[in-house]
Order: sequence, then structure tokens, then C-alpha cells
Amino acid sequence: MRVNTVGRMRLAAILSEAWRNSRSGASHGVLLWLVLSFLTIGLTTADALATRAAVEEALDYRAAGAAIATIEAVGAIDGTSCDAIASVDGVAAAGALRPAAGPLLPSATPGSSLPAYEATPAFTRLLGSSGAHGAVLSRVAADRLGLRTGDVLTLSSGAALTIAGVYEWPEDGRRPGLGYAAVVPALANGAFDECWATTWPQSAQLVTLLRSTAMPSSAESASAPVLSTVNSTFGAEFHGGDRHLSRPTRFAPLAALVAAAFSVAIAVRSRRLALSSARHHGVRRADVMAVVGAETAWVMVPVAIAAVAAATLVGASAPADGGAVFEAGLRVLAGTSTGAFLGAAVAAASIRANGLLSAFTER
Amino acid sequence: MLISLEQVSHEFLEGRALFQPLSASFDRGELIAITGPSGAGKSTLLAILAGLMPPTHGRIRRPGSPRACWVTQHPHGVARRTALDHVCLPYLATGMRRRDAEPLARALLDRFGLSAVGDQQFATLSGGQAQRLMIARSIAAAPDLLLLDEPTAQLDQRTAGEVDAALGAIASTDLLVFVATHSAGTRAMCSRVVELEAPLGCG
Ligand SMILES: Nc1ncnc2c1ncn2[C@@H]1O[C@H](COP(=O)(O)OP(=O)(O)OP(=O)(O)O)[C@@H](O)[C@H]1O
Ligand SMILES: [Mg+2]
Repeated sequence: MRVNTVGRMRLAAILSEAWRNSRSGASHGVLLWLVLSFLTIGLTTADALATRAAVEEALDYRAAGAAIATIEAVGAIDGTSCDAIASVDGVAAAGALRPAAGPLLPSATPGSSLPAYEATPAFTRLLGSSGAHGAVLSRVAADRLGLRTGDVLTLSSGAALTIAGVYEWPEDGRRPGLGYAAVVPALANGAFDECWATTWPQSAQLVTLLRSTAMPSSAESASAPVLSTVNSTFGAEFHGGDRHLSRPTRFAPLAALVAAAFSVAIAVRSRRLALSSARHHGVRRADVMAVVGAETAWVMVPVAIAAVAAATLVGASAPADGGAVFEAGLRVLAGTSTGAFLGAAVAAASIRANGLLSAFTER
Repeated sequence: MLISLEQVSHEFLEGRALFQPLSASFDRGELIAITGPSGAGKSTLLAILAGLMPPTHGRIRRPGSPRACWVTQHPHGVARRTALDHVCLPYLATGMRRRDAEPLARALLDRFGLSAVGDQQFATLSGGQAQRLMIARSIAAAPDLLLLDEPTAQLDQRTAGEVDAALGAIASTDLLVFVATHSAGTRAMCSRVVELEAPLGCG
């Protein structure tokens, strides 16, 4: 038994027929290439845009401080255990905060005062500023005092304070008090008023960790610890992830499959008279399917190249999670390919040897 | 004997037979014209002979189920493929290599006066050339039975003459050929004529 045949045709003859049909335009290869590339790239881009919107929403949420959880218990937060939260797996930053004994009085502008806070060394990372060795100023305070990172602020007491960084504290709904202020480092071992910590993605365990920083003595004090977030206007929980999981474009691979199957099937069925004539002249159904399948493969190679290039581009231009965007593009391409071959197979199988004579056979 | 008919007739409408019952037997090498006015049932008889539908009256015997190939009134080729490609395909379908199929296909093209247009695209062929190509292609498929349904109806007289001459080229094979036709030229090429007559006592 010969093995290099499909139905009866030789593999070489099948490939040669497919190639001649593709090259001559008999198989509508260029049109299919355009349609399938457009479909794949369009759906990949649509899904990438949906992903980008979700990523940007998450970035906004975090940038607004909404992901920073806080616990407040005046004079009853253990600074050391609060700082220690930062080293727990998954916790991005943590630190404790309390108001300083009094405002800072810059010597350069007599009469002016700058509200001051004291914080554990790790705290400044929560402000998006890495100034561990010195004071950090809010943008408004730095601008008003004409100071920049690295400058020295001389106080009326004669003391000098190095400006280790400047943090942004826009009025976007975040808790007030830090918009015009300085945060000065303090030793961690001591009592603080607040502990802040953040994880991403958000974790329910963070609250437990925050509660553990409240010192037992506070249990008898008048006010119980208060849990909140730095910016509660964005909601305590980020729902963008769930919204992203339920985005309409999550069906992009399925849509690609269905649309590709129909496009290819329509293209094949449009040749049914010619293909039926081939069947009538002895070409087996399996051989028609093989020839049409090979033609589809010819089309899918440049479609795949175009789609991978497009997925790489949209992945590279994504603000984050470029790898996930690229993978989503490959899933769309997989949908297109599966649909194309499925449509080709079903349509080719539907071609009948006496199709030209259906006026008789359908009587 | 390849096909035999015993009192065969057909009616689509109850009590309205298309033609008077036919009894005849046909063998390889014969070229048979089927004539009769439009609506007489020529195409219907071809379909019965091909085994595509059973007659409503009488009996048809086709021992060994001979393989039938049709040449339709309108040639259905692939516009962008060459004449040679069209004749090669039936050979390729049997598992032949392209390089073995090409000489056979060219010989057939030659037999039907098409050697000059072998490398032309189907779309560029004249009506007569396209029809002759379809006949050559069906011969390449090596059927037992060839059925041509008014192959010259769409053609002018001169072109029709080319196709009639092509029928002469088939006559030498051991095919059984039926041609439904209105054309005297075609009828003249045939060894026998089956005349379909309206049934007696009917419209
Ligand atoms: N499926 C059908 N149902 C009912 N009547 C049909 C059907 N097919 C054909 N007929 C009728 O049967 C008659 C014979 O049709 P047929 O096509 O066999 O004639 P014909 O001799 O080939 O005619 P023409 O020379 O015009 O091709 C016509 O009157 C036609 O209308
Ligand atoms: Mg007819």
C-alpha cells in the first residue's frame, strides 16, 4: 500500500494543485489573507485595548493611594511591628506615621510654619518617594519653599534638614493633612498613631496584619482602632480585575474562530461548481479536502506572521502586562487558524460529485 | 451490453409520461444521439441512463454500474487554471505523478485540436474550445459512459462544427456516448439516433 497518498492523489500532486490554485488566484488566497489578517489583528487589538484600559484603571487606582490600607489608633500603633509588615511576602510597602511634636519653622521665611509628621524609615516608599535618609516634602511645600531633592532646609532653631525627596499628594480624594507637610524619619521602636501598608494585588490578609500592629494596651483605651484606606473615594476594593475578566473581548478567540470558519467556508463554497466538476472527474472527497486544506495552510502562514507581528507590537506598546497581551493575541490567532481549517474541511467535504447535476439528483 | 432499457418512460406528473416507452440496449463504442423537441425529456433520459434517478416506468439494467461522466451545456472550468491543468486533474486523481499525467493530457488536447491553447487560462478559451476541453477532460477521467447534454446549443455554427468533429474523435474509443441534441450536424456524427416521441393520446 502506498503511503504518500491521501485519498488516491499523491501528496506531491495535492501540494502542486494547491500551489497552482493559490498562485493563480483560483482559491481567493489574497482575499482570504486580507480578511483573516484583518480579523485576527483587529480582534487582537480590540482585546489589547480592553486590557490596556483595565491596566490603566489599576495604575490609576494605585497611584491615587486607594490600594494603601491604614489602621489608626492614636498612640497605640507599634512602629516596629508595622515596619515589619513590609517584609511579609506580597506586601509592597509598610510604615507607621504620627504627627511631630510641632511644625517645622523654616528660618528663611520667618512666621511661616510647615506641618510635620514622623514616620518609620520604610514609610516614605508608600509616598512613592525613596528618601530614607532625610525629610521628604510634599510637592506643594517644596514649591512654596523653593526646595528640591538634595537641598538643605535650615530651621529657625538652627537645625538643618536634608531634603531626601518630594512626594505628590494631589487633591484626588485622598486623606488630607499631607498635602502641605514634611515627613521626617523617626526610629521605628516607639508608639505611632497610624500604620499604612499596601499589597498588589489586594489581599484580605492585610487587614489582619494591620490589626496586629495595634498594641494590646489600646484595647482598654476609649477609641478602638479604625481601618480605612488612604483614598476611600476609589472604593476599598479594586473591581477592575473582575471587570477585565468579564470584558466582551474575552470572546475574541471564539469570534475569530467562527468568523474565520465562515469566511473560508464561503470562499470554498464559491468554487463549488469547479470543485464539484473535479469530484465528478474522479477526485476523491478526501483529496478535495486535502487540496483545500493545503491552500488554507498557504494562506495561514502569512496571516500568522502578520498576527504575531501585530501581537508583538501591541504587547510592546502596552503600559504593563505586555506578555499577557501578546498571549491573548496568540489565542486569537489560534482561533482564526482552527476556524479556517474547520471551515475549509467542512466546506470541502460538502462538495458533491454530482453537484453540477443537482437539478437531477435533487429531484 | 452496457445498458439496456425495457419499456422505459418517465412521468413527473401523475399520468403525464414524457415520452413513449423505450426499449433498446447500448454497448461500448457506440455514439448515440437523443433527439426530440424541447421538453421531450432528453435531459431526463440522460439522468436515467447515468443512474442518477430511476425511471417511473419500465426497467433499466446497468450491469456493473458503469461510471458516467457528464459534459454540461455550460462548461464549468477554473477561470485562472490552464487548459492543460484541467485535463491533467483526472489523471492526478488516480494517483499519477504530474510529470506522467502531462504527456497523456497533451496527447488528449492534441486529439481535440487544442494543443495550441494547452497553456492558456480557461477564461481565455473560446466557447467551442472550452466545450472541447470539457470533453477531453471527461475522457481523461476514463468513464464507461459519457453523457453530453446539448454540447453545441450555446455555440455558433462554425464552433459547433468543431465540437461535432470532436465527437468523431471520441467515436474511436470504447466508450458508450449519449448526446442530447437538436443539431443535425451532431446527429450526423452518431451511429444511432433515439428519437423521443410524445406519448400517444397525450397533449
Ligand atoms: N423536477 C421536475 N419536476 C417536474 N417536472 C420536471 C422536472 N424536471 C423536468 N421537468 C419537466 O419534464 C419535461 C422534460 O424535461 P427535460 O429537461 O428532460 O427536457 P429536454 O428534452 O431536455 O428539454 P430541452 O431541450 O429544453 O433541454 C419538461 O416539461 C420539464 O419541465
Ligand atoms: Mg435538456
